[in-house]
Parts: sequence; C-alpha cells; structure tokens
Amino acid sequence: MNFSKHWPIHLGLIAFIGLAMYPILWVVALAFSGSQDLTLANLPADPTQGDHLAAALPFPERWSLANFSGLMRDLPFLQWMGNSLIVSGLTTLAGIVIACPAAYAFSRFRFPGQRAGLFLFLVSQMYPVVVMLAPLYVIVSEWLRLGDSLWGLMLVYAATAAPFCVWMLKGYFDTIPIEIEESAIMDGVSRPRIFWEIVLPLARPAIAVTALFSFMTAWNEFILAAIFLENQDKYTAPVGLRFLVSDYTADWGYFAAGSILVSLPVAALFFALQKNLV
Amino acid sequence: MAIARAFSLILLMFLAACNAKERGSTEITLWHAYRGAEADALQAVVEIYNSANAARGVQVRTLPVPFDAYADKISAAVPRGRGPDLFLFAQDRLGGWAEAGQAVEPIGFLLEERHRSRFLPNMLEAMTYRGQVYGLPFNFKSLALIRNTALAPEAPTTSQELAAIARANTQAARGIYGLAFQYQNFDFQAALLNGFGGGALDERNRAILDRAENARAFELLLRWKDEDPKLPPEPSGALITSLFNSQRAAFVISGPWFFGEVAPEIAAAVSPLPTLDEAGGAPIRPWVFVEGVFIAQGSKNVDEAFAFADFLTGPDAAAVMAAQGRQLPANAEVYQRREIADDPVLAGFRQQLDSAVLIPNAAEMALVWAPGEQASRRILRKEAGPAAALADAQAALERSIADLRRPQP
Amino acid sequence: MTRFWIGAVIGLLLAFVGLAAQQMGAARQQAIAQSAENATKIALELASAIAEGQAPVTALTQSQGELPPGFRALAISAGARTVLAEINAGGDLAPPRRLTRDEKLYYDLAFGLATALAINVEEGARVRPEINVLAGREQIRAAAPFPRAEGGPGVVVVEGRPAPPSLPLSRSLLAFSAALVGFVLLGRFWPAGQGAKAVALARMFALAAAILGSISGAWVGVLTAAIGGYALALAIASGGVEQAGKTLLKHNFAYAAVSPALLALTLLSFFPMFYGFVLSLTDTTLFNLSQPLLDRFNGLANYGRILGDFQVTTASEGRTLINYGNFYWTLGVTLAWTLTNVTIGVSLGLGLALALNTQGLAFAGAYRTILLLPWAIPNYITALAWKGLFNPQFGAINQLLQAGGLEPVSWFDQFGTAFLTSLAANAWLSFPFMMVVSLGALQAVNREMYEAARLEGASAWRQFWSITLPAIRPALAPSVLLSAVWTFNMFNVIFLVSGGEPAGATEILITQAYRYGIEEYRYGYAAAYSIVIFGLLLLFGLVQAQAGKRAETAR
Repeated sequence: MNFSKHWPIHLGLIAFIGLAMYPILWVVALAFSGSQDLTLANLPADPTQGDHLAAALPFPERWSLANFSGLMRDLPFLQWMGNSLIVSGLTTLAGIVIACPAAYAFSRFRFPGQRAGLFLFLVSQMYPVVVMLAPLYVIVSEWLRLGDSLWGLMLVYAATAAPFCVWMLKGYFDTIPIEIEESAIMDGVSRPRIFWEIVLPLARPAIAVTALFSFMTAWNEFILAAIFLENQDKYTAPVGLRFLVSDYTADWGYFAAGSILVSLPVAALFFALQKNLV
Repeated sequence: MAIARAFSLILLMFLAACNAKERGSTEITLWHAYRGAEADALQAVVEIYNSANAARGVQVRTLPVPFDAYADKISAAVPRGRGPDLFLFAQDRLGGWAEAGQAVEPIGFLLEERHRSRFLPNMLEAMTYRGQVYGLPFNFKSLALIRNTALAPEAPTTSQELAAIARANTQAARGIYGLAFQYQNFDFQAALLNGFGGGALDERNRAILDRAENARAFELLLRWKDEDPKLPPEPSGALITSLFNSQRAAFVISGPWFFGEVAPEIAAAVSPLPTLDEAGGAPIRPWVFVEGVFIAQGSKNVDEAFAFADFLTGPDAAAVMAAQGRQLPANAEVYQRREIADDPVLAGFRQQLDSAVLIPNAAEMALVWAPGEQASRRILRKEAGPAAALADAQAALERSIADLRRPQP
Repeated sequence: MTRFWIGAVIGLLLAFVGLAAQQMGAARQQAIAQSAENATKIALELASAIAEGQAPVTALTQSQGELPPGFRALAISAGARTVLAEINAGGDLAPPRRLTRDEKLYYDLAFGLATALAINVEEGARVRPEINVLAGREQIRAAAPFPRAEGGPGVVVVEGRPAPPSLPLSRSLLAFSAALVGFVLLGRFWPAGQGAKAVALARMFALAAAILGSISGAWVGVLTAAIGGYALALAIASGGVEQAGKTLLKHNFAYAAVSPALLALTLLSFFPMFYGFVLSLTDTTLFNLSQPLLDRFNGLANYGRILGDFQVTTASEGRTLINYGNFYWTLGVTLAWTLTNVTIGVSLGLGLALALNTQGLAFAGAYRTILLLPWAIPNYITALAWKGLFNPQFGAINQLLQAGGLEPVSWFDQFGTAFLTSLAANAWLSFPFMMVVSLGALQAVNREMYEAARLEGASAWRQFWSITLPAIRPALAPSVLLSAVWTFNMFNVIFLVSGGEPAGATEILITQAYRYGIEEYRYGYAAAYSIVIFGLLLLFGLVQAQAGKRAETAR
C-alpha cells in the first residue's frame, strides 16, 4: 500500500470525514439511546469542561434498541418503507426511461426547438414547489384521478426529477465521441439500436447518478405524499417520520431510529451503485 | 325443476350479496392529526362506535395525518369535494374556512338542545363563527401553571406569591430557575396580554396590539425575565422540559401535553395561572384552543357524520379520551364522573378554563403572529421600548388585515 | 387549389359550430337569467314587505299572482326553524310548519345572509351581496333576508325550475348561409395567388361572421370562432401546418424521444406555473375566493407592492431597525444564501473529488462511500439533526465550545449566527452531490495532458487552473446552475433549521412566499411573490445560457 505516499491527503480526508460524520453519529447515538431526549448525557448543575466534552460526544449513556422496537410497535413503519421502496423504484425507472431518450436527442440532434426545449427543462425547476400544492392537487387528484395512489406520486416525482436527469445525461452524452455512432450508421444500424446498444452502456456512470437522484427525490418527499394519499396503508416513510415531530411534542429518539431505517436502503443503494458512479 | 331451484338459489345469493353490499356501504371517514395516546384513545372510541353500529352497516375509518401537512391537506382536499366526512381541528382556522366557503358544513340546524347544553362554558362559542355553528367541540388545550411539588408544595394564587416562591428557587448563575416558560413565543405572552386586559384582536377582529395594557404586560415580562425572579435565556420547549425534569425549575407554564414529557420521578401538579397584582388582581388569561369535530362540506353522509360527531362529543367517548388519551374533553358531564373529577391534572386544567379566553377563530388571527413575534423580539432584546415596538406591530397588522379583507364589489 | 378549399371549409365549419353552440347556450342562459331575475325581484319585494311589518302570510298572498308557474315561495324564520308561510308550486297557500331535515339549506342561507347584512353595517358599505341567487339549469333559487325581532334571522325563498328554452337555430342558419354566400362569391372572383386568396377570404369571412354575430348579440362566441377559422385557414393556406408536419417527420426520432419528458413537465410543472401567473394578477385572498376570477383581477398591483416597497429600515426612537418582511432585505438574504452555499458546495465537492481522484490513492472507494452518506440521508432529517446540534443549551456544538473553555453562543438570536446554522446544514447536505458530479467529470480528463504539463514543469496549482478546470467546466456547469436554482428555493433547510429566526430575519424568498400564501391566506400576493422568484431565476438562467452559448461558439 502506498498509504505513506499520500499521507497529507489521507489526513485531510479523515479529518473531513470525522467532521462530516459527526451529525450522523449523533442521530445514531440518539436512536440507540432508548430515550426521547435530545441530550445523551445529563449535565450536572455545575458542569466542568470535561462534562461539556462528555455531553458533546455522540455516545449514549446506555445502548438500547427500545426506540426501534417502539417505533415498529406504534406505527406500521415497515409497511410505509415498503411503499416508499415501490414509489422510489418506479420513479427511478420512469425517470430514466423518459430522461435517457430526451437527453440523447438533445445531445445528438440539431432540430428546431432544441435549445429552447433544453432550457425549458431548466425553467421548470425555477418555480417554487411549495406554492404549487393547490394546482398539483387539482391535476393529480381531480383530472388524473390518481390522488389516492402511489402511481400519482410516482408521476409527480418523475416529472420533478426529469429535468436534472436530462441535463446530467445530456452533459455526459456530449462527452461520448460521436465517431462511434457515425461508423455504426455507416454500417446501417438504426438509431434506436445505436442508442440502446452503444450509447446507453457507455453512459453507465451518468445513468447511475441519474438513478440515485430520481430515487432520492421520491424517497425524501413528504408534503405531496401527505396531501395526496387518503389511506394510511399507502403512506410513505417520510410521511410516517413526520408523525414523530409535531408542534406540541417531539419523540426525538423514535425520530432518530426512523431516520436510520429510512437512510439504510439509500445507503445500500449507494453502495451497490458506487462502482458505477465513476 | 332443478334448474329453477339452482336459478333461485343463485338469485338469492345475488340478492344477499347486493344486500350485504348495501348494508356495508356507509363508510364515514375521519381525519385527525393526533398521535400516541390521544390517537389510541380516539381509535378506541371509533371501535366502540363501529361495533355498536355494525348492524346498521355504518363504519367509521380514521386517517391520521402528520401535523405539518394537516392544514394544507384539508385546504387542498375539502373545498374540491375530495375531503373526508369529518375532521378534527382547533378553532383557530375555522374563520378562514368559513370565509372561504365550501370547507366546513354549518351544523347549527342539526343542533338540538341536548347538544347546546352538553359542553363546558365557551366551548360552543369557539365553534361559532358569525352566528353560525360549524362544529362540535371535542377537546380543549390551554396553558396552566405546572409546579414541582417537591420545590413548591403550594400553588400560588397571585403573581407576587409566584414571584416570591420562584425567587427563592432561582440561582440563575447555576442554571436553576424558579419559573421557566417559553416567554419568547407570542402565544405564551398572550396569556399576560389578555390578563392585563389587552390582547391581539378586539371582538370585531380589529388590531389592538398598541393598547397600553399590552405594553404594561411586556414591562412585567421584562421584569420577570431580567430582575425578579429571572427567567432562563433562550427558553426552547426542550430546555423547559429538561429544566423541570432535572429539578431545576420549580414552576413552568405549559399545557396538558407537558405531562407526557415529565419524568416519572418528578411529582408535578397543575393549577390555574395566578392573578396579577400588577393588573388590579385580574387573572392571567391564557388562550384556549378548542379542537372541534367538523363536517366537511361535500360529505355524502352529513347525517351519519353528524351522528358520529354526536357520539364523539358525548360523555362516554369523552371519558375514554380523558382517561386513556389524557385529553381535556369539552363535554361537561364527564367531569362529574368520579375517575375524571379525582384526576388532579385534568381537574387542574379544567379549573384554568374558567379564567382562560378563547383564541379568536377569525382568519385575521393568522396575521397576528408575524408582527406579534417581531415586536416581542424587539422588546425582549431591548431594541425598542414596548410602546414603540407595539405601535409598529399594530401598524403592520392593520396593513395586512386591510390587505386580507380588501373591500369587495 | 385543394389546399385552399380544405382550409376554407374547415374554417367555415368551425365558425358555424361555434356559432350554433354559442347561440343555443346563450338562449338557454338568457332564459335562466330571465327566470332568476324574476325570482329575485319577487323575493326582494316579499322580504322588504315583511321587513316593513306585513305578516308573511299577507305578503305571500298578495304576490300569489306574480309567481311563474312551477315556482314556490317560502317565508322562513331560521331561529324558530319554521316555515311561516308558503305558496307551493301549485299556487296554493300552505299553513305554517317546521322546517324538514331536507331544508337545512334554508336555515344556512338565512344565517349567511344575516351575516352579510351585519358585515355591511359594520363596514358601512355593501361589501357582501344581500341576496343569494342560484341560477342553474335544473333549479333557480333566490333568497332575500328579512331581519326578524324574535327567533333569529328570517329569509324569503323563491324557487322553481326554469322554463326550457326554444332553440334559435334559425338565426344560426342565417349566419351560416350568409357566410357561405360570401365565401362562394369571394372564392369565385378573387384573382391570383392561392395564399393571398385564402388570406383575404378568411378575413372577409371573419368580418361577415363578426357582423352577423354582433347583430345577434352573441358576439364573443362568433368572434372566437371567426378568429379560429381565420387562423386555421391562414395556416393551411400558407402551408404552415404542412411545414410543421414535415419538420416533425424529418426529426421524428428526436421529437419522439423528447416528448414524454416534455409532456410530463408541461402537465406537472408548466401548468401550475401558468395557474400561479394568473393568480398573481389578482387580489385573491381567503375572503374573495368564491368570486369570479375577473372580479379579482387587479393587474400588476401585487408586483407593484412587492417591488415598490423600499422601506428596508425604519427609524424607531433614534435607532435604525431593519424591516425583515421587506422584499429587498429578503432578496439580499436569498442572494447571500445562494452565493455562499454554491461556493462552499462546489469548492468542498471539487476539493474532495480532486483528493479522491489522486492516482493510486488507497481506500479511495471507502472514502467515497462514506463521504456520500450525507446525501443518503433525507434533507429534513439533516435539517432537524443540525437544528439539534445548534440547540443553545443541549446542542453538541455549544458543549464543544464550553469544553474548550469558551462561552456558549445563542445561535438563533442574531442574524449572523442564525444564518450560519442554516449554511452549515446546507453545505453538509450539498457537498456529496457536487463531489459525485466532479468525480464523474474528472474521469473524462485526459491524463496525458498532465504528463505533458509535468514535463514542462507546471505546478499542481497551475495544472488545476489550465487543464483540470477548463476540462471539467462543461460537465460541471449544468450541475452548478441547477444547484444554484435549488439553493435559491431551498425551503426545507431554512424552514426547519433557523425557521426564519430571529423574527423573520433569515427568511428567504421562498419561505416568505409560503408564509404569505399558506399561513396568511393572501394567495394573489403570494403567487406574485413566487412569480418574482421565478422571474429572477429565469433571468439568471438566461444570462447563464448566453454565457454558455458564447463559450460554445468560442470553442
């Protein structure tokens, strides 16, 4: 190993990781503390610097799975996670399916409306979503009659994620040398086949990022899901998590436990896709 | 013959199937934002009703909605006829929905004498907007004085008594306070404003933030905070709970939800907020939030929905909500029952109700928070005197009320 | 010649259909309106007679003859829940009775109208209508209030079914034949050039239809149809549609590939945007939601009020205080927020990517996975976790400060520190994304160029500026642009971490719009606020696009 060769880089990275992991460790410690308090260590009335340091370290006084079991007992959290997985999976699929061809077209063809079309995708991100609640509700619930369904959510999420996916993929397609395709065209291969068999495999890293992004968009969203869905069995995990913190009371321990559960599938997905990322 | 018999059998089965479908066809949906014990109690009440009404084919289904999304969800779904049959909400949004129309069904017509006489004083008024009744009161919440009986065995009745006991229990340098509450929040401050005879809106919903009484209330708050007995800095809800649970706060001002967070080893008791010697002996008057059960306009089953609302606000349901859900029912009769009357927490908050005031249910109330909080910030940070800061807030509030209620053709 | 005929015939048919439909609708509407007006008149007369002291029975009896066939009239005391007097649809007088369960509506109407009267007295102006009229195809109902001393509000209701209208087909036919004659004559005698002919014809035809329409009174429908026909004829005649069709066919693959995404976007993004734009031109609040849109129209007044308010500070008792609700303050905060965030996000992301991209770095994969974790955690969790860390009493950050012997900081008490809390949370949230994008871009850089640079003795810094940055710029630019847009509209972090503390100082434009619209019911104003946000971002996007274009042409 050439660890010694790059030691300043390692040092810097490790320091940064320590900093970056600190909030996560707090959430983990809170989740396993078995209590609902934000504080892990009780400060005495006249705390010394050592006491403060102890309170700043993300270690609970005792370790317990009580928050996890309590969460599972009080709420159908696993079912909601399952719903989230379905919605996010479908969104990822839909996002890629609609974004890849569009991005390819924007990258490879010169056609009337190309520049404007690409810009439109950017423009769609500029109008704030929180003020679109009412019209979105009308469209999804009244017009499409998809209000109380995971399909309706998937549609909205896919449309939300599509602009980034298109831009990201277009940027990547631009870097793929066009000569490969030109020679294929010479050989009489059709456009769809070129796209499917040559371009897509080459664009794997960008597709991986796109997939992650679409997945995260759907996985994180709370307010639309809470407003659209009319049946408890269809709730998604973020909606469930929001039950734990309200104006009057907050069960921080449950919330932390839920946060970890919610983050695990995404972390797993990251892990699975990371070979493709670069 | 056999064919005829088979045919009639099929016909019978078909009819039975139709009938079953017919019978099971009335489903009443109820939306709420409860969780934990209160949600469990509500579910228990719903199940009692469902088993009693199964024969009639009426079933109630509940949908819990996260609090953060609740108002948005109702505002989006109900006016478009896609809402539930019933929903639970506090009265502070009622005026808004009534003014917008197509959200809450007026129910004055359905009320009978037994409904009108069923509730604690003022409860039905909270559900009444411009003469029309829109909901049945279910539970109420208000602030009261909560004390650690080990530190403060007796409940004070005047503000000077409170200050004296608090002073004796305060060592600010060591983080120990006799009195702690979220005094930076306008809804806590409002208890003092109301006590002095001021407030945010008058009975016709015009701004009255600049009344001299409000300035005097803030002066008292400043004195409590900085001189006597001294209040903790940056009082978040978490800090108040933590101070109380670590024996470092003798008194806190909070609501019934606070008892869900009190540590088991702490003996806590609740009593009405004291009278103000600074305001001629008038009581501190916290705002009461009354959670009502409302029928959504566009409900296909107004009668069945009302029947369930009737049951929900009756004494039997109220007993479950109080005992199991630790709620304060609006129903009056339930407080006669032994197990409720003997419960010191419920009785304490019930007693506070007598000197509390309803938070206005007008839409204008939504506009109060921003200027109110800005003024309180400036006063507490000593950027401006109470009178000047409140005059600014008054002007801002008047402007935004005029914007909201711009005269229509 | 065929093209000309097709265009002309389609345009004409369109106009005819529009005209006929309009005529039928107008006639029905007119019949209904007539009926409703009649009912209203009777209801008002009855109400004022009763208000002046006449007994309801007497008043109703006197008006017995005026009621149209099939209509009934009721005088109701809502408080007593009684029908005081009634003339039923048969024209007979019915005795007093209790309101039935089905008549809840009358009770609600009485209370609603009594409220309207009270508000009008309060405001000293007629801000609410003092009559309630329903003019439907199936039912017509007019309700007029009369104040009653005992038993609460009273109301007179006159209701019934409207008479079915006769269909005035004759007039439509007349319009059609007139247009047809004009068309045939013009078509026959117009000389030269197909395109010009069609254009002129369509013009004449539009004129004829408009004249006829204005005679018949239904000018809106006719005009619309005529303009539609005109445009269509023009398009076909000049070959525009065919041209468009050819373009579509030529680039069929491209258009087919783009359309699903664009369709989804149109429905779920652009339509709501359009809705918001329309709303922003009105003074819609909670109180006038039920009025027709046109009545709520107030032009650009909302924009004027937002952009025209320059009172960023007020002087109070010799001090200068900032008005945190002012648009320009919030805009400044938002710009500072976006700029700092994007700068931090990009430098952190790029820095980490460069470090991870070091050739032969051990554990690079492991580092990368760990560093991606903040992205894997939903942003509202991040936001709440950071809020907890900055908690003044229990937050780990203040504990660390105190462990180091420093004073704890009241983070949410001052603008600077409160801003810092949101900044920290958002930076933490956004660096993994920029890191991934940068890593991807760095892969594409040709390593041989570095070798060449090294041989020439260029420093690492120099290599970064002259090789790395230009090479990754095109891949990075869209992500930076998008992340700027997202940060500008980053609702969750601000809303959940600083919550606008202290007193709205750290509010950004989007949280402000939310407050006006959702929390304070000022829908039109909030919509205008959102459109302003949109406009600013659009401007930014256009400038960037121009810069991108220049860069592309320069290459």
